[in-house]
Parts: sequence; structure tokens; C-alpha cells
Amino acid sequence: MEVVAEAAEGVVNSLPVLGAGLGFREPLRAGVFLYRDRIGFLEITADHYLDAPARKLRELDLLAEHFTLIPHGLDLSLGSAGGLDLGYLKKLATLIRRVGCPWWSEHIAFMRAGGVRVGHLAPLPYTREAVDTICRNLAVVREAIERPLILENIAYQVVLPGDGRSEPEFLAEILERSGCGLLLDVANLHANAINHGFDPRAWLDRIPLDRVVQLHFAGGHWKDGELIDSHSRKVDEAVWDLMDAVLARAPVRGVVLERDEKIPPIEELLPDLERVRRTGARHGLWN
Amino acid sequence: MDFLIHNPLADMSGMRFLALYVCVIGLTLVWYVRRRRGVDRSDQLPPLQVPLNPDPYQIACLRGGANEVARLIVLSLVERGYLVANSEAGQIEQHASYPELGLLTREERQVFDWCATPRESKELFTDPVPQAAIRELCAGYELWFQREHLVPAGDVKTESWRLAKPALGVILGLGGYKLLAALAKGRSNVVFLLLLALFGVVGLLILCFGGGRLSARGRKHLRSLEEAFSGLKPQVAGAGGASTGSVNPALLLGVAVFGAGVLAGSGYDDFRRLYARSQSDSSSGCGASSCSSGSDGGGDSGGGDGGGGGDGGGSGCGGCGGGGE
Amino acid sequence: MELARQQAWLARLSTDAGLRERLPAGPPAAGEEAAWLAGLSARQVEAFAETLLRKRRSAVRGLLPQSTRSLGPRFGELFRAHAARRGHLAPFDDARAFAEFLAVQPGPIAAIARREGAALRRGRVLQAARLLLDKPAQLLRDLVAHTAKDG
Ligand SMILES: [Fe+2]
Repeated sequence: MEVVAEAAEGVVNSLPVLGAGLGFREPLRAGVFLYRDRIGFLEITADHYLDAPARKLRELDLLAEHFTLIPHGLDLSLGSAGGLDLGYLKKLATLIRRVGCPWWSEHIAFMRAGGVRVGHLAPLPYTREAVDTICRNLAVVREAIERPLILENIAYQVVLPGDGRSEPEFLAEILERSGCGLLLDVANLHANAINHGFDPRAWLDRIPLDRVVQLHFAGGHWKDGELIDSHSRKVDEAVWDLMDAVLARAPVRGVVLERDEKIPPIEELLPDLERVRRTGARHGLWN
Repeated sequence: MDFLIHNPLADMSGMRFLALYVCVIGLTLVWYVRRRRGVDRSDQLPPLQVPLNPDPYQIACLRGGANEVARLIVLSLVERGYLVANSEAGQIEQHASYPELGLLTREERQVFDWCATPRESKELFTDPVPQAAIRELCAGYELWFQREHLVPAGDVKTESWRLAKPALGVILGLGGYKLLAALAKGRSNVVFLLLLALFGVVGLLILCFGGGRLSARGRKHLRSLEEAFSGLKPQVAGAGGASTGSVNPALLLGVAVFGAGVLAGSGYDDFRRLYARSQSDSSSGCGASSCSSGSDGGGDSGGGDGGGGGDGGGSGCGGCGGGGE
Repeated sequence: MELARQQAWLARLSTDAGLRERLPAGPPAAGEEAAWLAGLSARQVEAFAETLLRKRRSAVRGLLPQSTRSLGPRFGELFRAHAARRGHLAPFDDARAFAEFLAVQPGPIAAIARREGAALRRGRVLQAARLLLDKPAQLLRDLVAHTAKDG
């Protein structure tokens, strides 16, 4: 196992620095071309290009001609105890080959259980069995896809009964055993810290920050006293603070602003990217 | 000598020979299209990137040539409040209180000055004054198009003509021989033969010289632009119109890439109608609507980019491009 | 209790409103499972289910714009009633099922929903036809995979 981890660490260190990027959504298409020089890279939702019509694939190729693309998967369901959908995995592999990306990402979560689709990223219990399951599924993934995979922490509303592990311990164990990098979503961390009442800084102290390859950040909204990670609003200052704390300590290669609802004109998103760029530059991650 | 007038070909009955001739012409044209496709190797170059600060006039010139640029200059002047488009009278004229003239480019200024007296919309395409200014602007663009291989290089044209010669030889040779043989036998019902030969020759010449003004790389670049900026269409359609006094950056670029057809339903519908009409009057090519529909569907019919050049927007706009050369 | 059972429970609870209602009164199971369920927070599960519902709703809104507009503020309440009857569905199937549900409601919405539901189905056929033109091989593979799964 240790050999895997060491080899993986080498891979993480050899990943290119991409800077401040944007989660690509179709309404932003004209904008990303017009402001190409202000966007370090694009993250694309992999699922939008699987089984896609020719029109979507042309969009993909055009984007790939102009940007570094990082595919971000939603539906692989790495945490499913029932194993992976191999047909889906094959399509994902084809996409990743087509895009030729430096790395790609998925979530530490499950989407399917038995025959039931949850339709949203569902949390795993922090147990030994869940770690084993993820690592088993990751081994299958590695057979199909060589490109480095980084794993994202999700925003969760339910905490499932565990076996005494904490979330940071759970994440650290998965990263250690699988050799994957971490896609740290600081907005998710912020939402979880608020909704479940913990200190996000202390949380950061307990995860392997040297494994953080990429960050996500976004704005959520409040509902019934709970912060929903909806990627729909302006980014909270607390999230900026967390990002700053991580960029100061982790070898981050890229940061992605996610926006899924109420997508504004791109001009309103660019200042956030500029702020990311400045923050990263201040910490010597890029210039 | 008898063999020349009596052989299976010369003795073949009229109908049979015509059928054979149709097949030969068809095969020759297919052969030509395939060979000609090999001549234009511009698409083997890496694709040209979508420019960072796209120049709408340049894109309009690529898409449709000088007349598209002329239209876009007028639209730009109307949007910024220098000119007024009066679709009722079918005229453009200077705005009573136009903004600072120093902000105009040289060509824009020339068109503006020319509008000191109200002008019929179609005069824009015929009057030597605006035409000279716009031609000059386009000449600069054309140089760039050539450098980037977006238009066929000179040797591509020579090469396609060189390839056309043997094809022409086959069509004319076979037809001519049969004609002589028939005349020698005293027959005079050669109308169909002549018509077929004419059809074959015209078809070949169209394939040779009428293949659109863009190279394969040029067509691909135009498709990339359409693909990249398709999101501007609704923004253009929602543009308020000159009276709102605000400049919409999507407007010029959207019209440059997709043609004036995208203005339908926007505050600039007057302008669109003015030039949709003047287009059908002038001989210069693509009607606003036909052009935009071409680009809508054209993307999907990407298969059309064979040597024939019969693909959607490209050939429709070929006419206006001719003026730019 | 093994992970597979835990995941199945969470999936069912988050998509089945009736099951959730019984949770605060006491676990709807026995033994090991009951102990595990007792460790869940009913409030948290409810919140998660609410997020799922919200996500479904916004996807269906996009697919049935006319019905959404004509329902106005009643949309949320009717969608909740529909969602309680049907477990999680993929967005397209969800929209179609919701249109069917609306088609038997009183008032002018029935006709609108019927029309929009039919348009949705037509759109699906067109999409399949386009896929057939784009990538016949893939469509064939999908069909084979589908029949294999059904069989
Ligand atoms: Fe995220």
C-alpha cells in the first residue's frame, strides 16, 4: 500500500499548475471564448458529454482546442457497495481519452444503491467497510482510466452512523490507500461546518493538505436555518477565508468556481477568478 | 478510316449512348470532386483559434465579403447613434445629433460622411464612395485570410484547373466524337447530346471555380466561430434598438458571425428589413435570412465540406465575396 | 449491518415520503437495522429528501416550462404530491410522469400539461432519430444493452 501512496504522491507533484478556472456551463460558452485570457482552465461536467449528441461533442472539441479541460464526473457512484456501472465507466474512459486532460475528478459519495437511484450525491458512513468499498471500486476505475483521479469531499446533510472514524480520518484513509489526490470543495466544507457545527480550520488541520490538487468554491443559499450548497449565489466571505487558508498551505494546482443555478453573465464571475488568481499568486502558487 | 465511323461506340443507338454518356459524365465529376478535395490541404494545418478580441468586420468579411462588412458598418453606426435607418423611406441618413466623430474608424467615418445626404439602402453596395472605403478595408483582411490559409491559395485554383482539364477532355472528347460520327452518318437529332455535354461542362466548371471562396480551413474556422458564439443569438434578438442609447457588445459580433437574420424580433428589425430588401435588389448574394438559416443548419451538415463546396452558408454568401476579390 | 443495506435504506428513505413519516415514531424495521435506523436523525433525513425534491423540481421546471408558468405558486405543492407517489426518476421520466399527473387535475392545467407531455415525448423520439443519424453504432449498443438488462 505504501508503495502506491508514494508513487501517487509523485504523480500529484508532477501535475501542471492551471490557476483560476471556471466550471463550464453552456450559457457561458460565448463568454469563455471572449475572455479566454482571464480563465486558466475549464472544468466540464463529464456526464454532459456521455451519450451526447454530435452538437455537444463539437462543443467539447472546440473547448478542448482552446482550453485545458478537467472532466468532473457526477454519476460514477464510487461509494456503491454494489460496485460500479461498467458501461458508464467505459464511456467515461472514452471521454477522458478524447479530452486528454492532466487529471479528472469524482466524488466520495454514492448515487445508486440496489436498484434505486438517489439522484443526488449521498454520503457514506465513516466506516472501515466504506473505505474498503471505495478502494475496491477505485482499483476497477484505475484499470479503465490511467489519468490521475482526484476525489472530492461532498456537502452532506445526513450523517450516517459510523464506527468512530471522523470525516477527516475517513478522507485521509481513502487518499492514503488509493493514492488519489484531493479535490477540496471549500464551499462544501463551509456548509458542512455550519450545518453540523464544527470548526473548519481544525478540520483542515486533520486532512493531508499536501494531497490537495484542486479546489472548488461556490456560493450557496440559506434555507430553514441550513446552508444549502446550491452553487447559486455570490461566494461567502467565509469561503474566501477558507480558500486563503488552504492556498497558504497546500500545493494547489487549480481552483474552480462552480455556478449551477441562476447563471449570471460571465462578466460577473470574472472578478472572482481574478481574486483567486491574486490569492494564489500571493501564496506563490502561480503568478 | 472505316473503323472511325463504324465501331461499337459510333454504331451505338442514340438512347444507349446517351445513357452511357450520362454515366461517364457522372463518374468524371465524382473523380474530379475527389481529386480536388486532395488539392485543398489547408485543413491539415492546426485549426485556427477563435480570436481573443474578435474584430466583427473581419469576421463579416470572412463570412460574406465586402457587402457584409458594409452592412455591419452601417449597423454599428446606427447602434451608436451616428446614423438613422428609416425603413419606411428605405433610406439611411445622419442622425440629427450624432456623437463625437473622433471615435469612428476611417471607414466608418467615410460611410458616415457619405450619408450627409439621405441614401437609398442599396446605394451602399453600388456607390463608388463607400465601396472604395470598404474594399480597402477588406483588402487588408483578405491578405490575412491568405496568410492563414482561410481562402484557397492561388496555386489551389491553378491546381484545380489543371485537374479539371483531363475531366473536360473526357466529357468533350467523347461527346464530340459521337457528334462527328452522327453527323458523318447524316443524323441531325443531336440536341440531347449537345445538352448533356453542356450540362457536364457547366457542372465541372462550377465545381472548379464555384466552390465557395473559403478553403477547408476557412470553413472550419467559420464553423468554430458559429459554435463559439451561438450563445450570442438570443442576446442579439433581445437587443433594445438604437433608441435605447446603449451599446450592446454582443450585437455586432452576433451579426458578424450569423448575419443580419439574427436581428429578427430585436430593436433593430427595421435595419434588418431595410437591408433584407436592398439585398434582393442588389445582385450581391446572401439574403439576411438565407444566410442565418444556412449557419443554423450548416453546422450540422458538416459533411457538406467536400470539394463541391455546396455547403449551406458558404456558397450562399459566395456571391458577395466575389465582389471583394 | 453491511454497507449495501445501509445504502439501500438511505436511498429508500430519501425517496419515499411515507417511509420517512414513520421514522420519528420508531424505526420501521427490527434488530440490527432498527438499531442503525435509530442512529439516524429524522430531521437530517428529511432535509436531504428536501434537497432531492428541490433538484427534481428544478429539472422538471426546465422540461415543462408552460405548465410551470400556468401553475404559478401551485407548482410546488402539486409537485410534492406527485413526488410522494413516485420514487426518484431520471429528469425526463419525471417530467413525463408529472405531466401525466397534471393531466388528470381539474382546471385548464390538464390540457396544457397533456400538450406539453406529448411534445416532450415527440422530442424524445426526435432525439433518438438524431442519435441514429449521428451514431448508429452507439444507439445499437445502447439498445442491445437495454434489452439485455430487461431480459
Ligand atoms: Fe464541488
